Amino acid sequence: MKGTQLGRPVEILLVEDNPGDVELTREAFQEARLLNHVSVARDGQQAIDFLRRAGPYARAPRPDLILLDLNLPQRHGYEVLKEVKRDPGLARIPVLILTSSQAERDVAESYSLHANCFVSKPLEVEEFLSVVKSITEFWLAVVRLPLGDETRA
Amino acid sequence: MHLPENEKTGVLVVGGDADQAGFLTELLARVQGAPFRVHCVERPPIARERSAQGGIDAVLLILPASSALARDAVQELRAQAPRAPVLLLAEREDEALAARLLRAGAEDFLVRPQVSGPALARVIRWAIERHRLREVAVAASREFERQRKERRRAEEVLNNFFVLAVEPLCIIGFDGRFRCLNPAWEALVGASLQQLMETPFLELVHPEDRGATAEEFRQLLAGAQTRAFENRCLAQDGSARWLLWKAASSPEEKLVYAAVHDITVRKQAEEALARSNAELERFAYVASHDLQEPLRMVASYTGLLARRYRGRLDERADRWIAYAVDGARRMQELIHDLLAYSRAQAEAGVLKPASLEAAFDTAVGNVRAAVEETSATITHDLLPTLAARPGQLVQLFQNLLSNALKFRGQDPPRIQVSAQPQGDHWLFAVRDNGVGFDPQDSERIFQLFERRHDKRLYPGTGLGLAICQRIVEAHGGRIWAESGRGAGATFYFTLPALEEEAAA
Repeated sequence: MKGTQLGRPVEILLVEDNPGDVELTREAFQEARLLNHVSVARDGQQAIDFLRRAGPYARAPRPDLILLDLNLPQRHGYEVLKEVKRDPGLARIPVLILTSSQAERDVAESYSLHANCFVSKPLEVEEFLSVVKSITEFWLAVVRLPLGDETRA
Repeated sequence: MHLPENEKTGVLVVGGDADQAGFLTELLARVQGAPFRVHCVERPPIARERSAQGGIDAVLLILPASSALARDAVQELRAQAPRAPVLLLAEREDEALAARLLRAGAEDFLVRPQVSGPALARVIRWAIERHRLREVAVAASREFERQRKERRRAEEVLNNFFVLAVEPLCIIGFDGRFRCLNPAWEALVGASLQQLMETPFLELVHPEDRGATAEEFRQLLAGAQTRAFENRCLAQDGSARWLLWKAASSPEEKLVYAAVHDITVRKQAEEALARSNAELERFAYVASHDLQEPLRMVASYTGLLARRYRGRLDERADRWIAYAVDGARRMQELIHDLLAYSRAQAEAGVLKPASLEAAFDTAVGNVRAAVEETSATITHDLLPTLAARPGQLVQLFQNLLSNALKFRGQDPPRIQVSAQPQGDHWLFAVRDNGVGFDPQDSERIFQLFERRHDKRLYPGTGLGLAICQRIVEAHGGRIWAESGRGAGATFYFTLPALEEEAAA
């Protein structure tokens, strides 16, 4: 397993309601051979609770990276994105929109809500695996991020 | 009116005996300056011949003995020499006879014993003057009557058109009340003209359009012209009709003249089209998520199966998985292309000046893999900037290039893209040296799902050219293709030039 700048497993929050995609993404992380720990939120509300450490998520880790789908039950992906970017304690966490939408307006809206990048889920499995691999590598190994609020972790 | 000064006044003396005629001739000859030329005839019929020769300005009728004959004689003379006044000369005063003969058309009644030379001369001159003035007055009044009739006829013609007009016409006072409406309004509104005349014009307008209509009306009163103002009018049954107004005001009359065109059908079609486009867009959005989602699962997991388990089951399992993977992939292509096809129209939006050169470069970049794989060469003219949607132009070029690369012949593909300005549009041609198509299929190839070749040799959804057609048509152009089998194919399309270019 590859290390990262952090010297510990990467904390990833995957906000995804489709179990097929959850497993596919986990496979991709595995193929990327990235030392990671993935938490999964099945809907927008869960994601927000997780990030706020509300209710059952009191001991939730602070993610280093958020992979966010847009079409989510309960609260739309945009709302999760807004919550993250509005909260000074969370705003610096890179949020990667990973969605099946290819609509221009979703791309535009995501960036205007300060998403860090927007990726349409590739149709081919090979591509999916390699995209997940490269985006996580890019954000976790290549890009220098400000040191996270480790005291909260 | 004046007589020519150097000409003598011609007086025709009719009737009487030689004495009487001689007396009159003598009398007039003695008038100072001898301004009269006197002709004498015995009877009216001869007078006609004489007056026809011209030079007769007045007729002096010496009254015959019988007053009954006198009346006939006056009328006969009036008819024979209508331009000359008829004066009567009697031997004695006779009020009743004078009145009767004046009514019959005589100009004056003189009594011989009372007449002196100068007096007779004055009377004749005045009679001529009066007579001519009367002629002028009669002519003027006839002319006036003729013109009045002509005006009335012209008004009738206009009124006939006003009444016949299929489209509503009206005159509105500056106070906003109708002054005049043609019957087309009855059909439009479903109310009688009487009712309409009593309704203030603004009350006929749909409440939502009243503000804009009142403003337009104000501008009309200020002297502006209304060329194409649209609003809705309320019909009696509660329905709304869309109207297109053309109007002008007449400040002197304080009237507004308006012609109206009922555009309800066009508006409804436009609304229906907008609705259908919006629905199509919603469908496209739903399809891009909800249709793709389960399919992506099938494709991803069959793909993952193929990846992880190839060779670990048996050969048949590998083959079956390959079929599933291939089927899912083709389904994805279809959905993708159908979306592109529906978007080509749904994403109407505004056309903005866009560089075709940039769109072409992007398209070439998108097909780079196929270009390298087939050792193709692509050449192109410098492409213009046109009013367009750049994304669609990329797709257009990309589809045409892919097409040329796909249907290549034995030799490496050579694709040549040319562009020529032609008046108000540009003509583009994408020429290849590939297998071409049967000329009789030149229209069919643009239809949805139409595939010209063997599916196994030439994979694809059969949507590429249909998408091209939609894009070109959505840009206001035309697309067609020419080929002989085995002789390569040329795809032509036109796009409107930018306006300043077309004007140049």
